[in-house]
Amino acid sequence: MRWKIFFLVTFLNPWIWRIFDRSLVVFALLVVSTFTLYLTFRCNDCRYKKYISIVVLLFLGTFQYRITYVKSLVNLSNDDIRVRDMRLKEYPPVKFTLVNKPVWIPLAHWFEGRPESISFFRILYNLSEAVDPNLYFFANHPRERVGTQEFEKFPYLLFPFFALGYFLIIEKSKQLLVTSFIIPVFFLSLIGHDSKIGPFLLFPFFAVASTVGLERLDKSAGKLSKIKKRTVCILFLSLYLLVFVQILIYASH
Amino acid sequence: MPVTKVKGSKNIELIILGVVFLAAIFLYTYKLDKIPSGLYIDEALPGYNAYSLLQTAKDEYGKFFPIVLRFYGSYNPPLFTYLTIPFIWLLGLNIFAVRFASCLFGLFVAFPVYFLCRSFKVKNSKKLSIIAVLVLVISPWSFFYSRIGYEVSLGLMLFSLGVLFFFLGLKKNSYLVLAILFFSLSTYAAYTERFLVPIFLIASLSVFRKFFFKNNVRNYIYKLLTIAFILEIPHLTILFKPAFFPKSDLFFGALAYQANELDAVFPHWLSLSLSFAREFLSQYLSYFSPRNLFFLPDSDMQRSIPELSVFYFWMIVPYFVGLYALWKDRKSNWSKLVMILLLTAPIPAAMTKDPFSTHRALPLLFPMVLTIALGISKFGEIFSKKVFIPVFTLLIFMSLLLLWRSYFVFLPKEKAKYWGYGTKELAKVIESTPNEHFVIDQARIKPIYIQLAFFLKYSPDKFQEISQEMNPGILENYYNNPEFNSHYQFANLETRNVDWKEDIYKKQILVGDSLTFSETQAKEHSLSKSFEIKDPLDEIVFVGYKTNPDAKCESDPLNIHCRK
Repeated sequence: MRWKIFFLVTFLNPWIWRIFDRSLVVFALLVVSTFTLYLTFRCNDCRYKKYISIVVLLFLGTFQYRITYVKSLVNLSNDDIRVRDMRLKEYPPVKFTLVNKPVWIPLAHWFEGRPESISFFRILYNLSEAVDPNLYFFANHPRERVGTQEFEKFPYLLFPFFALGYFLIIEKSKQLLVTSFIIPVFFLSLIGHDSKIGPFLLFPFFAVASTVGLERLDKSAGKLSKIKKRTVCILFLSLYLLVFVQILIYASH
Repeated sequence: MPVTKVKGSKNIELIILGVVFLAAIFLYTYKLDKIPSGLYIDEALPGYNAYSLLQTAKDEYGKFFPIVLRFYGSYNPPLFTYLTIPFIWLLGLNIFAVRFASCLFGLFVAFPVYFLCRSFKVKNSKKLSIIAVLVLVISPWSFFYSRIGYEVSLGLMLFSLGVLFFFLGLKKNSYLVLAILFFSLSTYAAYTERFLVPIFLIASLSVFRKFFFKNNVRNYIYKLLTIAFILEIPHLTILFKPAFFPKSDLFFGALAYQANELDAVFPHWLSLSLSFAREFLSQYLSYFSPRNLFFLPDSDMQRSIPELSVFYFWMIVPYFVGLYALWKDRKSNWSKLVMILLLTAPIPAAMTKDPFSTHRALPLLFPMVLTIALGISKFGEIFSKKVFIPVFTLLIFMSLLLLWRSYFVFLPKEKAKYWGYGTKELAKVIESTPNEHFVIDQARIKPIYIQLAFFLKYSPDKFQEISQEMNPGILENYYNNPEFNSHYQFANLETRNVDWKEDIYKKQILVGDSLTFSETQAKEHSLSKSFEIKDPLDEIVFVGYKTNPDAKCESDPLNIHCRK
């Protein structure tokens, strides 16, 4: 049953087929990395596989970097410059007196003008996009980004299982969370994910976490009688397919 | 532990709390009447109605202490307006008085937060409660809604008091009476609580069913239900009137469009159900999204602080740690309570079409603060005091700096036009020229009548007469939501749409915003600019043009108004 769930989550979502459509290599790498990540989670003594999963994620990271339109962290557009100049004028003069001499603090420049602060706020913006669950389960609905073509990734029915899987992964392997979620999120914060296939570097983690969450449902259903278990299974699958078709329709518009 | 040590730590705790609270009072009241710049209509309505109730015991329409206040068709819960009356009485009818009431209620939320954390059975509840109070008072969410004259901070305060006594009631039943009292009062304070309280109670009853179905408690529940019934009688009297549910149009505007897309594949009922599921779940999830909680401001321009979300960006880490801590301790009562709060608080807001409405989801602030504080206190357990205290202090300092930048530097200038900036100045212009008649165009401007009545301190008696004249039968149909009429005529002003066929032939001053009048229009109709009111960014918010009927008639002598 485990593998059935794994295949259901990994292949019955619009994101993987969009990636398949755009880049066969990334598709293949994603399948392999999701598979190894899942094996790593399942295996109790798997130092060797752990290294494989890290190597595959490194490869994925390279592809993410190559495919993404990486925006400069410090360059400003004309509109950014207009806003910056307007805001520089909004600050009041900030000073304090030291031995009868005024010491001016250029807070306006520190906040608005320095390249370090500009890049810091850009990184925060990228981070905000990478960690938004609505991006992965609702094509960023209800707060779609201006000028970005949003697309459906995972069926929203998976979200509760993803959340459950997320906690179960932390409980079992914090290292896996760091390598497959936290590090990729930091990487995406630096480069953004402006590409036609989105932040696919996080695909393996989302797929594995959702699988782990769904397995818990399967485990809970295991206590039921055979008929009840089958009914739950059929109900879930029907609902999953309905939602899958629904988001495919939205994706096609 | 020696007695002196316990006393000493208690003193330190009290000193820290005292300092935090005093600093918060200063921060929350500093330039309260100046920032946000202007007075928004939703602040002027409770303000003027409180003034009217103080003077005449009737609201702007002449209704004696209504169960819900009609305002301009929004039918707001009345408690905030009623509680603003003493502030208006003490401080007069001004912006500070209206906002100060809300400010006190917002600050008071710190007490239920503190005492609830103290009652949690966690490793260091003292530290947790201090951290929670700190997180609450510095959070932009609490800060923003406490500093504006809205009813939501009162709703949050009463709701959180209800939650506190509910939790204490799980140990000592008599507290449940207080819980019911505060829950019930909160439904008279804010719109969200009217829906949230029953949802929260149903969820809590099902989670704590073992406790509530004990024999001695079960009997107690009947008493509580009776109390709740008595307290809700005023609501029950209008339950089936439109005034009880006036915002039904807010529910899922986009649903029909989404369902239409699916109609080609599914039967309509299924399309509608699937669309509802997606819409509701996406809205619901957005209230837990770190993007909305820690990075982006509210999408409503008027209800957002520039470049600041409802919490600070660094709080994302303790948020996740706190969620995990809740999950790990999920069998304990305190964890169950926080989880119920987290899961139920966004439900009413998620039923509406606005994405991440910080205004409607304000009750979520309460469990979020607890979660983040829990996450921070976990770091306190991991790291030594020498590391934790300086880092935490630095983060608080940085947060305050960000708050200063966004709230005290950007907001007064960038958001002035959204906050009704200029109405006070307009009222001054109107008051200083009593011989002129002003027509304020309502085609592009939100209803302005109440802000003008507020700033002109117009006599409530006369205003009620005018309201009844403009809305015939309003008192008989008060709760039936008759259509709002924005046409008001009082003092030397009139609020309505400019009638270009007639108004230019009368001697008066036409007032609009920057787009109401063009240069060519002014030239064509012989209008001369009388005044201009600009916001802090130097953009025009109001412009007044004086008509010149004689000159206009010279160019158009055959016009019916000229022949007269």
